[in-house]
Amino acid sequence: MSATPTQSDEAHLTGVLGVDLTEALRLARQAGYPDPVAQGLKGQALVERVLSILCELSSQDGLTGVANARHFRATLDRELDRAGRTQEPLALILTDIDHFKTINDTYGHPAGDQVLRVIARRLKDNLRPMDTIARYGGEEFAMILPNSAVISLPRVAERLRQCIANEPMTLPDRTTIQVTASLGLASSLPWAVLSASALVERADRHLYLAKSQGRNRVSCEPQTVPAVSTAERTALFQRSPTS
Amino acid sequence: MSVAPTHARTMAITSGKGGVGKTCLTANLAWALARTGRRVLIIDADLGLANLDIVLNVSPTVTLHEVISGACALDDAIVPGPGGLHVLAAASGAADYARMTTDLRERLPELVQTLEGRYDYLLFDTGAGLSDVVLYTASLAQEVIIVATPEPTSMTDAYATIKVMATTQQRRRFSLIVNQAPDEPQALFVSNQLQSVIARFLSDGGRAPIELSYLGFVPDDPAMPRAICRRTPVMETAPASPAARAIQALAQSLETAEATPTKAFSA
Repeated sequence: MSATPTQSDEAHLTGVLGVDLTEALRLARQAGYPDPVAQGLKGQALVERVLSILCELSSQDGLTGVANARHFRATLDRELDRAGRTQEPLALILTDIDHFKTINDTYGHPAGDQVLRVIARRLKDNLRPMDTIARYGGEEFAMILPNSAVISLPRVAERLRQCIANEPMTLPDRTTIQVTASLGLASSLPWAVLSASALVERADRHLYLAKSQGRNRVSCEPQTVPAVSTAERTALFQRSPTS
Repeated sequence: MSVAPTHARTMAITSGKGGVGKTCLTANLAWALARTGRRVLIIDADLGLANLDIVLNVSPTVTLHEVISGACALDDAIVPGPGGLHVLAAASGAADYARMTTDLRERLPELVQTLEGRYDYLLFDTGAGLSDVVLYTASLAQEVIIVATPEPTSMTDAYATIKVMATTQQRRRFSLIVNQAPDEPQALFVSNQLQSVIARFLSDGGRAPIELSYLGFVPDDPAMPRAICRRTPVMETAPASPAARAIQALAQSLETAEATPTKAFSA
């Protein structure tokens, strides 16, 4: 009995915080956390542990364990604000799994879920601990890369593409399939105050370009200020027959 | 109960190349707009080498730099200029502000927003070149007016400016004023060449085409340098001069041109 929460603990919690402790503990166990009750926690310590687990769970995507869309939004706002103050570059990469619907239709939804989990793990393994990866939509992942050298970003994005495309994945029924993804990359600009939505829109535009150019590729914004080419210069001074 | 607040048209006047008469043209355009009863503020956004105060012969005791650093209030830095226009000057030789700073990045959009409620026109006189600061101030304006002369270097820099703003800020509309043109055909040549190179090199399939609307030209006129030496707008010293008449016409076409409220990026 001493290892389980007392009735008064639960009653106290319900009254003060509106949290159903039994349900919270069930969620924690289900998500794979060590059982706080089995760990011998009680009273205040138990409440704190359960709350911290709930907070973590509320920012996570249940299927893949990476951040969820809500947590992504909050992180992007915070990181953009920080990047603006520190003048550090900030990059956003949006990834969409190619032909995901076909995978679901052909191999079933458990297979689709497995693909999402594997891709989430591979992307996470190829990012730095300071980066944030989130499941942004059904088959879309978003990655926030603070303080990344603009010049190396296309290489980073390419590595992320390869970590998905270069290794086949095994489905629950032991079938092995090759999955690819398209990536769009945008970074903060030194001359602009960016809103999160403006950055997402730009990354999304490049994700769309990567898709429309044939998938399994990375599309980035031009990294340098475009110079005027010789062809443009020549055309500028050429008098056409009509002028 | 309250009167609906006005919302200024914000225009960045930029050229890429320096020495094309941009500041002087801006000052005179502002004068002509103010003369029609419009509330006009010129913001000297050439933050490193500001000289709008020289051109307009105003002597502000505090400048945009003090406002941005929080050392003084916005109203203290706005001074009346000739013809009823207002000037928000910047300090010349302020190396700190020649480049992008956190203060500038954070404060300028707020200042612009405040001023938009008080004026009919906000004109940003940007610096030459395509620095962070120039691109940043232009990104805060609804409209971008490119000033070019018929010189090949000026045309090339005008094109480069349009190209950079179109590709990095997704700006689709620009206006052009050809300054110091010997005659109208040469001004039209500048406009036509720019328009055709834009159409040929800067259109990317499905997106809206980039428009460069020709607002008009200001002839090469000795009245202009004479007015600069007297530190008075040519509109005042020589209202009948070809340059002054051309600027008057430009102000009128600006008034009739449709406002295009499309900022590149918002704060």
